Amino acid sequence: MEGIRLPRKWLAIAKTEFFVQTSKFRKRRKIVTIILLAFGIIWALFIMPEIMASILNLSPTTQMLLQFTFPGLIRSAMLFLWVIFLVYPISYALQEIRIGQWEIMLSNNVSTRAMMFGMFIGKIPSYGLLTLFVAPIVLTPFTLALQVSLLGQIIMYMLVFFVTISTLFLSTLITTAIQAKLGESSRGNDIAKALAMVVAVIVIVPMYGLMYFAGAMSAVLGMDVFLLFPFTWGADIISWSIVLFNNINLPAELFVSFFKLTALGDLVLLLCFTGLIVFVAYTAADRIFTFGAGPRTEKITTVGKDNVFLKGIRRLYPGSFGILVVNAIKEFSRKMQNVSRLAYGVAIAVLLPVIVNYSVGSIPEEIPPEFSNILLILIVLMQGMILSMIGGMTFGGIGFLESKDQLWIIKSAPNGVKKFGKARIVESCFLALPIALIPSVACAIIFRFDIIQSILIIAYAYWATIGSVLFATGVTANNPAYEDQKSSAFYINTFVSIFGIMGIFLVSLLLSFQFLSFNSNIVLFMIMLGGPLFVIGIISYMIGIARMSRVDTK
Amino acid sequence: MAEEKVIQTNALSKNFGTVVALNNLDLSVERGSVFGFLGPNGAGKTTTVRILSGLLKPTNGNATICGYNVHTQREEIKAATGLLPETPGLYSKLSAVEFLEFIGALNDMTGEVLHRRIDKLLDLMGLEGRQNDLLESYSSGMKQKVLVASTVLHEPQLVFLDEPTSRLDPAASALVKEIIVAMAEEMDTTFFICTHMTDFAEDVCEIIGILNQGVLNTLGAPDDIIQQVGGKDLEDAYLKIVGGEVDRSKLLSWRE
Repeated sequence: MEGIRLPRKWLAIAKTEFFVQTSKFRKRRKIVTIILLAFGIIWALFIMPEIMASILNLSPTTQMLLQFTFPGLIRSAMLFLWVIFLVYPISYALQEIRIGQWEIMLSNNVSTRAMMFGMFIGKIPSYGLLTLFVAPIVLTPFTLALQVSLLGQIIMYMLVFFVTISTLFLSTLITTAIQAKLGESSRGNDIAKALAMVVAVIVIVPMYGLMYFAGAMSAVLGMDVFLLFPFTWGADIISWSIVLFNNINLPAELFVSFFKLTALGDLVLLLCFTGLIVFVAYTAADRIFTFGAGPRTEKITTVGKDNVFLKGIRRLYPGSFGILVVNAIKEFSRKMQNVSRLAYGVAIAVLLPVIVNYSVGSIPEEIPPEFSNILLILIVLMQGMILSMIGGMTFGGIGFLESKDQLWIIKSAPNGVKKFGKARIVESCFLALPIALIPSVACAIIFRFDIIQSILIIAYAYWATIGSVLFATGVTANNPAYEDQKSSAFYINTFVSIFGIMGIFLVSLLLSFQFLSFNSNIVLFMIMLGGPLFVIGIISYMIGIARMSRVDTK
Repeated sequence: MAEEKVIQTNALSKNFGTVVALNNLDLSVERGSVFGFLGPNGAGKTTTVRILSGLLKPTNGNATICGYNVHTQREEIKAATGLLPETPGLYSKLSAVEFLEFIGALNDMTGEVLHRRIDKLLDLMGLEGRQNDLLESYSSGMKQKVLVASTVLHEPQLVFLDEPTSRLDPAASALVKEIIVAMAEEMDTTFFICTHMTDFAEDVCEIIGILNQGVLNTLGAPDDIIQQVGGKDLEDAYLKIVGGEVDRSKLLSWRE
């Protein structure tokens, strides 16, 4: 290596990471990034406020409600964002272990610190843009209700960005450590994918505890227990920026008792926390990037006999179709990648009512009960939407086909694609049942719904999930992405599926509410809500399978 | 019966944009014969196999496979043929038995016949002790054996094998050779084999076609081809036909 000097190797790594993430528009990287950034700023400061203002049409009561409850709601929103930004990158990165790339870098005499720093810096643009587009959706209602000035909004979004990247750094550190210890083997990959699921549970279970026992813990500790969590510091600084930069002369003294800390105190704590993570990362980098050997050794998994459930399916579908369904279930459910995604979605869907329950609990009693009822309907709908997204993306997206070579094998059988597609959908229908059941039951228990209401919620969640599975399967069959999560096909499918499901869902919602205004039959309301997605899902599926069955031309 | 043409192509061509992958292929292969399709990387062998097995649409020309037209009777062609693809598309989370069950079901097989065949084929491939292990733990050679078994499972009239022995050890390679010869002789199965292995082709194939840059430029029995170009063996003849002599002076020039 004599004579070859790369003084800023981290920069080369960061650039490469950025190039990989922007490979879709590699010919116009700079201009597209600048345009996206400029559009993001306009989106956050001008477009989103306009959209929200026209949608929300804030009444004086709601406006007053938001003015007094925003610190608690922002804590809930930031907790949710924090969980997503911490858990999702870890789960996502664990889906694909890249030890091979590390080995190349380490063999080229790159320091471990440079690797970690470079990989983190390279991720900032994409996550920064994501924040810029997502955060305004959550925060604009508050900026409108409290008439936050432009400067206040800019400071607020910069704070959200800072909280996001500090969380991202933490998740990069955790992911790197896990990946290095597992190494690159199918067994290691499997464990990583299982861990992706465990991480979600590890974060979510304490959140439950926090929500339920915060009051008791605070009493024991003699302080607000939420102050122990970094997301609270970030949330409170954002709330402070609203308090300090609003145009309705909100008196800061009113909120001091809620915040407990001043804006400066929160900022110092957040900076110290971030500094500590960076310090730990730098001092531990050498140990983190030492590849482990333990789980890398191959372990042979031998399958046992079919369980009662699989035997039941064989009995239900005797003949070749039963074999296809059973093998589709086995293949899907043995992949920890699929299981972890579903577990993540279920965990988030279960967490949602808990968080909302906490927020509803923190709303003063004098608030009209209609507000709580609307919130409950919204929570059921949101839960259905989360399950639809995760179910659709997992059953119909990534879990649909492993590789192009697999497709050749399926296509080489007479009507192979049709048989395979049908078996996949039946498999999804079976596996989606517990996926819809668990969060719906949790929601029913938390909000104390009666039996009829609970059954309706379960039926709606299942109905919506199957509709989205059909829709996403159709999208993927139209443009197979296989398991390559870096391919443009994967991004396109994800984009089309998510926005397609959301779009259909929102239109259905508007129509259903129109319907509800002259007919209060809740069963018909639920059918109308999930119906369009199901019908469009079937059409999408049929088109997708027909196109996938067609003879290739290229 | 031996005169019956299982593959008959007429000016078959395939373009990918401006790239000509296959150019005016005229070929006929008789039932029960073993045909070897040789050529360098990117010559168009896999493209030819995909067209002939009904997976890819030709740009021009026509072909009949087992009496079925590649333009209009693709499902019939698929039912009559078996395909071993170049790269294995196995399901990593299924065992060998489960994967073969899956392939059998795709070909409408079920019940006792399917399971007896699976057991016998795995036994023949020497995988009987590992049949219930997930395929992710198989070596590439073992995976290839499973794929070979999946290709012949439904007893097709015509089998396309794309690089069947590239990942196999010599013993497994010899086994595949024997299976091919036995099936061709006893069951009248026709084999169309794409390969880089000239020694394998010389041993197994009755007729060999050499494809270079999409053009079939040599066709005949291995001995005839060797004699025709004055080679020592098929590898030597192949190198003479497609080119491949190494210029030693260039080997280390990259250091300058």
